[in-house]
Amino acid sequence: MNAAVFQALWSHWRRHPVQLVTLVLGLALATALWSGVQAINAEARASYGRAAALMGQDQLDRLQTPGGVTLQQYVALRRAGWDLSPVVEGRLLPGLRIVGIDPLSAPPQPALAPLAGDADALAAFVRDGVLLVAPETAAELKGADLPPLRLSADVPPGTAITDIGVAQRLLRTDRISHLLIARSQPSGLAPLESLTALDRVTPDDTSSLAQLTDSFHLNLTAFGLLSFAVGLFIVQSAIGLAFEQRRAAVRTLRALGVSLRRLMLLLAAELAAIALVAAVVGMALGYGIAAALLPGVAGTLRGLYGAQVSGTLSFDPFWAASALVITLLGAAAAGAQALWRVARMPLLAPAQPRAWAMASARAIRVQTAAALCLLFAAAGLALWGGSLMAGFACLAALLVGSALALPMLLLALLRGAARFARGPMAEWLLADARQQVPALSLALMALLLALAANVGVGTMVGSFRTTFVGWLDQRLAPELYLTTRTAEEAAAVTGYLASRSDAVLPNWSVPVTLRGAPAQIYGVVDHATYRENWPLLSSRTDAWDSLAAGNGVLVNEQMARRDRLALGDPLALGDGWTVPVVGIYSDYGNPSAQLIVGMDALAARYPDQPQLRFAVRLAPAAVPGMIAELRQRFDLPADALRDQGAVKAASLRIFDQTFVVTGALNVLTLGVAGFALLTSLLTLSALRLPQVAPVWAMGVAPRRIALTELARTALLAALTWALAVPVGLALAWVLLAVVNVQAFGWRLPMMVFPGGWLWLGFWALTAALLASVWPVWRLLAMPGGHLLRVFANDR
Amino acid sequence: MLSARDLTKSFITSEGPLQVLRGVSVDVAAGESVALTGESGSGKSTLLHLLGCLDVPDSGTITLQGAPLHNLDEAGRARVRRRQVSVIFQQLNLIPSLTVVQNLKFQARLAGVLDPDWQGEITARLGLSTLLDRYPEQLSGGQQQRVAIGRALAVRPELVLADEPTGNLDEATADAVLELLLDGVARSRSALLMVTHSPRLAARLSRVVHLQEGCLR
Repeated sequence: MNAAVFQALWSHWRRHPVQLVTLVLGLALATALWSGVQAINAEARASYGRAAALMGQDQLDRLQTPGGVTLQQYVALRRAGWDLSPVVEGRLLPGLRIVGIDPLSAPPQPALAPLAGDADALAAFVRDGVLLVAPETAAELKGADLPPLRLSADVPPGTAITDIGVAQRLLRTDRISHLLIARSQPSGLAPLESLTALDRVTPDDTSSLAQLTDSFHLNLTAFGLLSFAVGLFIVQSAIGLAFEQRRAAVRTLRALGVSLRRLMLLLAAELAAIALVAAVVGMALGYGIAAALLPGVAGTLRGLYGAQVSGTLSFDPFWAASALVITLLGAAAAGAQALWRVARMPLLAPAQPRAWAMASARAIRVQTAAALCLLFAAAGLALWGGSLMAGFACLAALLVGSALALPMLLLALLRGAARFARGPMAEWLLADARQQVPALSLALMALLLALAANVGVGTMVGSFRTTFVGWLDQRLAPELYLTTRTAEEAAAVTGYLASRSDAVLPNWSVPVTLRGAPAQIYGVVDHATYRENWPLLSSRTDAWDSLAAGNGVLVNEQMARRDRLALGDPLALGDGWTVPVVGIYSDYGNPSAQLIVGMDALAARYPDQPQLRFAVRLAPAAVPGMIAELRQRFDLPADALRDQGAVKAASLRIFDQTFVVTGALNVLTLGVAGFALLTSLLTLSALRLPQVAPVWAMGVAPRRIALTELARTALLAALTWALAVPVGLALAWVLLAVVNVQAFGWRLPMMVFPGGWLWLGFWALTAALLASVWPVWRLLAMPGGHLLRVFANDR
Repeated sequence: MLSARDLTKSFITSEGPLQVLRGVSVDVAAGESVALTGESGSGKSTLLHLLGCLDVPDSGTITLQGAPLHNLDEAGRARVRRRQVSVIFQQLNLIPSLTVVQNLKFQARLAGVLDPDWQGEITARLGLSTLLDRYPEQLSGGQQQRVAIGRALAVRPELVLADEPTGNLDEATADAVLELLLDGVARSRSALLMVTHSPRLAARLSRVVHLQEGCLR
């Protein structure tokens, strides 16, 4: 019996293959975008895990100091009996982090597997200066002038492990970056604090990459969820139509004695079977999307957080299983309403296909009421939320509320426009558009969401970029940046520069722990460069004088927001060193707390810290010549001197890279919304014959009808776009004023870019017109006889 | 006024070509009302569609006021439907998204011949004055057909073609609707060719022609 009933139900899809393809593709697209984002997140997190585990950084305490540990300090501690392992770290090329280790004392770990128990390999590692790298890193380094490479799959991407001596030679340093403290130490040792002035640092979860990048991945997840929701609109629309068209079959089957329970089970099984097929297609698409986007994401994470993420995707069975589950859940969510309708349908319900998805006036009123509630909730969350999750909840409420309000707003606009319509075709166009709104509302909601997301994210990125460029100009006022290797070299270079530049400004900082979190304190000299350019958001009038006198501190916006610091608040910077906050400055792109004090005040507290970095003021035209001269005279390495232009260009490149993925997801979401519109118009075209046939019979040529159909779709898309712009702006405001503040600790001024909206409007119209071309062409190509069948079946 | 000669029409079906009309010739004079009767499948609607420029014959000629219709292109046929020939079907004559008053005026405005006085007179005679703001779905079958008649007559067409306009109505309503149709046609001085299964209704028209197996008898 089940087979017979299933066959009867399945026959619908044989007769409507386009509907089946729509359903499978819609579900697959929804799954693809969601699971693609999840695959990217999983790959990135796996990379963070590998990086965190390298050299026991996630577990072992370390000793370090600004400027590096000297060999003498290390030897003294070893002689005192402490079991320590030295590590030298640094960047050799833009994408290559060198980690130098002492293979005999380094903690055991998977990355060193090629050396374990192999005396020859170990000897070669030390003697030949072999670099252990991941296969993908080796591929990227092909042709570089480096020591021999040896592959180890467990080395994090973008990292090379080598002998400490080789690392020091490559990085041109004689210092040790830090000393790892073995967990078990001989008993009876003198305490470290009494032996050394080095800082003991405990692995700090709050600064781990995974935590730093959480908000970035949350953003990606939110986009994936939005795309998933847009895809589900397609699915719900296709399922709704299919179930509506099968009302007659369902009634007949029930009349023939098939129980409602059995019918529901079979319909659910049918949906599950379709979802399984869609899941496989969706996983393949999702894998492709993730593989295509991953290099961009890896670049973003490298630029934003210095996180090395593998640029290639590995297949994860857990990811596949979660994609399958999400597809099934999506299909269940999208099909729930249709199944509920079947369950509630009386046995003797009229069998003729009711106007599918024609929401009644009451349904639209209920929908509008729900929309208002959600919009009020969004406003409440924006004003009083106070957390990142509240920010995302606010975004969700805003988007869903706006989407639900769309049909009522469209109806009102069309009703208003009808008053100004002249001519019967214009009247028909508007009246018919009004009647189509309920049937097209799901697709138009999807379009609204995609457009609003585009406007919102575009406004956020545009505002951010404009602010960022201005901020860079302020922050990077000096023309040349210099990094020296030793105090002696610093003295020599700055001495040489003293008479050949306008000013040499020390760029000196010390890492500290303030209020339980890591921070960096910078010392600045009193100079017009800072007074005239520093991007202060708020300050006391005597801020720079206070700083010069050692009586004040500037804090970055992130710290001010996190610790709720205001101007005048006292801030303890160390034992007996408390000064008031005299200014708050913007510090985009920095995930940590940062402070600025007067140079003398900092030097008094940290007299032993070498000053190795400097900003140099000189005529821009003199910069290239000065760089060449300094390199030659002091044998400085390539990355020791950077001109302002290069630093700005690098910063902007990182910035633009950051939003490549967002842009790609934006386009994909718009594509999905266009597909939703196409499927709705296609399914609707069969139901449109009773609308079109009388007009045709009264003497309106098919070409004119086709143009009117196109104009109607364009009108609905244009109105949806017009409504999406304010929603997008609200979205941008939430992103800038709520989510960014919670996620990154800074707030950006909001700027608007009307040119971008017009461009988006053009794309929305193009997408809508492309989506309606096929249905309209089908109408145009339809023989008159088909239209005549609307009126009667008798020939 | 209307003259059709040797019309043939066939359709492609899954069992091969189906010859529906086999050389039909018919004339309708100005102001005349003609009933077209015949069994189901005899080709009545097909003939009506050819005469109304809704379809084209395989062969044969059709002239209206001496002008040939059979060789017009789609735009030409649309123009005839707009201005010279009005068609009333058995069902779904009205545009669902427009109100009664908008439907009544629609064809006349398309043709650019809207006459408010004439429109008002038709509306009143058809008893539609109280229904003007309603939508088709809010009307009974009889009311819908009255609106269709009003819309068809609003252009004062030379010929009204009606395809079983009362086929979906009960006897009393059908009588009333036909009465209004005949009255309206007479007032607009149009000719009428009406397909009907009902000998009783056919008898109320000035002439009856019978179609059998694709030929007029």
